[in-house]
Amino acid sequence: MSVAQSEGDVPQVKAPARRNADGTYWSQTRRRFMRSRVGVAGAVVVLVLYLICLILPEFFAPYDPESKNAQYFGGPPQVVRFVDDEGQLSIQPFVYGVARKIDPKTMQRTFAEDRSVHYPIGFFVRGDAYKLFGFIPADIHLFGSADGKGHVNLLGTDRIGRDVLSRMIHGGRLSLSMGLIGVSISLILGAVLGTVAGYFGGVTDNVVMRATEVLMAFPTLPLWMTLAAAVPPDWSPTAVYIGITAILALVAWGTLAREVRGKVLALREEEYVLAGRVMGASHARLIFRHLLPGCFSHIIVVATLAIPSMIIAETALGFLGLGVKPPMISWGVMLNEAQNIRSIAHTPWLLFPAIPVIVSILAFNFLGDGMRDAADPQSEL
Amino acid sequence: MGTMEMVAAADGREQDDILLHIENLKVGFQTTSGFVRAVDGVDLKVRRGRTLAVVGESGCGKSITARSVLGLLPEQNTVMSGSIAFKSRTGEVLDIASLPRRGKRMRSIRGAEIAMIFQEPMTSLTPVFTVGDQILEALRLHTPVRGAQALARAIELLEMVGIPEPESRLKAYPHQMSGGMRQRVMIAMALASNPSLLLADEPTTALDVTVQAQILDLMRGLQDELGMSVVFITHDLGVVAEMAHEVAVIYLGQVVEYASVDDLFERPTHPYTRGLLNSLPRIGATERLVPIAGSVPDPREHRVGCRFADRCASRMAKCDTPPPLIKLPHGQDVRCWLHENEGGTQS
Amino acid sequence: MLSFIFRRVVQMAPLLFLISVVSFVLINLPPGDYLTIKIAELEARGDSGAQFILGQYRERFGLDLPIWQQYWIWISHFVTGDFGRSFEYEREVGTLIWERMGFSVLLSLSTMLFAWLVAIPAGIFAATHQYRLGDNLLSFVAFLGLALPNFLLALLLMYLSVVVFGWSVGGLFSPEYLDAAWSPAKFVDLLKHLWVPVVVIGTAGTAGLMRLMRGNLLDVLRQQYVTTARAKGLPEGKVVYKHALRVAINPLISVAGTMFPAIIAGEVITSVVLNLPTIGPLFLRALQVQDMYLAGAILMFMSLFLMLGNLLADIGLALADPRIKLS
Repeated sequence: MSVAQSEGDVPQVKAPARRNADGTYWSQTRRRFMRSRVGVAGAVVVLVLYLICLILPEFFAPYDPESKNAQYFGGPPQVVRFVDDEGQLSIQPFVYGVARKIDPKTMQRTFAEDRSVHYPIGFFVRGDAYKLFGFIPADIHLFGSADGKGHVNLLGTDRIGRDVLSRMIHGGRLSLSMGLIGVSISLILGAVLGTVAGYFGGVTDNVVMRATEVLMAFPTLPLWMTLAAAVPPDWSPTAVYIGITAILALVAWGTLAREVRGKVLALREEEYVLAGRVMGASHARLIFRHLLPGCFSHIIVVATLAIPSMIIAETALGFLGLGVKPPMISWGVMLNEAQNIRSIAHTPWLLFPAIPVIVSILAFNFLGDGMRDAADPQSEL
Repeated sequence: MGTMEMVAAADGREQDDILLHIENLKVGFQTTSGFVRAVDGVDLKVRRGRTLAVVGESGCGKSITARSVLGLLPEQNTVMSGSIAFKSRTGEVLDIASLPRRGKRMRSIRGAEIAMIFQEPMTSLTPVFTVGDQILEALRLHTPVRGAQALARAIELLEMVGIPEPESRLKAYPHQMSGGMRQRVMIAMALASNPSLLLADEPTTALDVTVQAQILDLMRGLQDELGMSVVFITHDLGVVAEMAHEVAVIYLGQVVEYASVDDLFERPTHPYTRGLLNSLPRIGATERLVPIAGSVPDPREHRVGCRFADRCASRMAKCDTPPPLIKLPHGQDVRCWLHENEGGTQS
Repeated sequence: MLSFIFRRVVQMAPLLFLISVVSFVLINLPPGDYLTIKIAELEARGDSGAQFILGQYRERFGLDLPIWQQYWIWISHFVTGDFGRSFEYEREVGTLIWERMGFSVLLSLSTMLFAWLVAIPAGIFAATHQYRLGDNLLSFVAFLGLALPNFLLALLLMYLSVVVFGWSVGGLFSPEYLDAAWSPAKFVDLLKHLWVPVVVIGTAGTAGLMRLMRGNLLDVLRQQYVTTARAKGLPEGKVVYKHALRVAINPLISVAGTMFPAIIAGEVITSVVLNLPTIGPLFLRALQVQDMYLAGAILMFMSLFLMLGNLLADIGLALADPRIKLS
């Protein structure tokens, strides 16, 4: 980690905000990151996901997640078409109407396309009303039935006729934000405790390390499950959300704290920190001005790589029915409905929420890998 | 050998005498930051029973040259050309450079006829096997001795390299030994099959000075005893003076001077060699040490002309064309235009 | 060796104590207790013995005593092998766990075996063919394997087998063998079902192990002693498989210990999806109905299993690597 001082530099006691001919440490890091194609792709995907699911889900989703299509429950995805039965090409995409059929023997309900009805798909159409950012009333959706008469369920509908795509987009708000907030909390906990433990050593170090050991002595998922099961059933959705997020963070901070501690232990012996100490800098100053900046890039990388496991945890808990529960929507809650063989056999499109889960996990992994390589080209962590 | 006639007359005899002849060896590596010409046309001759020292700064290509003799260079992104003629025990002359690196013939030379020891004794032995295992493995590979006989031979080898209590040391793991002891084990292992050539790649660089002296003594003694040839790679001119019969000085992948050890220290001819000698402290000398100006340039840069020109005090216009290796009448070879008119043949 | 193991076990003691405290606190965390629900249920059934049974529970577990005394009663019984009684099933926790333990252990060990058998050769192949097609392909698959949460993998496999191939993959036995006595045919039937959960649980671990194997081997192949082995005249196969592999595989032994949490977690969630007769679904059920002694005992067992795994890994590493001193 030692960086050669450029010639003529006066050795100065400063945390590694190193500057040399090629620019600062950060601009070099950014340049290295931009060179990693998968890393940049990961970043783009993450940003797009957050834009769609976190900032403007109401706009991107064609329907309100709770609005039901009474004509079409448990219905398969509709196919977007440009050419109709007569071979006529239309610029505007459309879907056919649906016809319900009931098998007289099995009483099994099936749907078929009703080719006599065309429902054109329009962009920026009016639909279910919502409040943009929670306070601006609006009713424009990215796409939907152009004339408002038909329904467009591109990914099918669930058991009671709600649009799977819309629910998936809204579910992302929870799934993605919980990962982000959970990591932020465990990051703060882990960074503070890890730094303190590594810096002061002795008893403090011992206590923190024993605590992380106890935490890590439990298998993670069962511990998450036990804690999530302890969330009282009568809590409000918001309280459950905060509770589960806190639980995710509570279990995850240990690993982060150990990482940070290790880094601090190494940095503590570096000359610039020793010099700071010799010059009589206070503990707080040494920690916040010298040590934390030194492991900052490392912390960010570890945190980014921890987000996917949080998303998995949330989804798994929701899937098991121990995390957030309906009427809240998350990818896990949605997948919970696709739990048994029956529903998988009859309504496989309920598995669609698995796709954003996998995509976001991959994107975060690529992003984290790219950042790690950029921040610390030598490490092969 | 003072005159050219004598050299010519000796040529036939000398041919018989040459064990290894490297001609125009070139090795390049394709790296992410460009193509590196690590070795750029090296010629070397190793004679039977003699020690050739190869001297140069780190990164000059001396280790790469030694490794290419055994085909130990990385296979990917490596380009190699030239010839490495080796006179095998059967009397046949092989071009090692053209042998398949993983082939049987190559392996029958590695360790058996040409052995090698390395700079880092601390990491040269596999940590999870005992010293005995590793020596016995070498014996099994290249000699017919087996069982109790092999064990006795292993003990004999350890005794030969001066390891006390060889019986019990056989059962030791490398990490239980000091660096000097490990280097002795490496030497013992290298000698297992009586090789005719030993490549020693800076074998004492990583050792303490006192241990260094012991290892050098040991190697000299063993060479006298076993009559093998040694290629001794080093950056330490003190070691050269002690070990070598002939010396090749390498700068940036090229031999810049080739001489007998006495000639080199008495009449250093190439400006680089002179610079190296001037930067050495001498007992009793009072003049200041003179470092060579500048630093070793990046081997990725492709330069025309003499490679040392930028650091050379006697640079002249002609240095922009690459100088050939000029044979001087008194038996020295030098790659420098300063000696253009003294020399006879150019190669 | 024995003293090494003994010392490690002694070192574990305080940790074990803390784990038991945390477990006990965790399972007492949910508000309301199962007993109240149970009373209502029994009384609704018109069970006259309800109060009597409840009295028995209260007495046995000291439910009227302060929490730390309850803990003491719980843990002192726990160490003698009395894990308490399940309210939900009205059976002893020990027997409930014992019935399912066999399949859980079978599943975990098979998964471990699968992961090693696949990851080691794949890792070696990738390392010896670095940056070539096979290596890139394996790296890509490993990346996917790591990214795919195993319940999703279970769901997807189930979807594929049910919808595309028309097989039934749930459970560990076909219906006709479910209650049959053990026979070679039943064993074959078990194997036919076992591979699905093994693949599901093992994928992430296998991928991680493979990447580690590849990385370690690449590191080792750059080491000086590998060049020494080559310079000796050893054939390339021996250089890789004898010298390099022996060193590169050591860190994986300690990783075997850290794989247990993932396997336990995977076992829980996969068993729920695939409806397997293992500990996992029992644990989930116990948590859902707040069957505290059952949940607590299972949580304790999982942690013990984890520590045992780490201990075994340490012992294995000490045996395999002469550089690690036992003292």
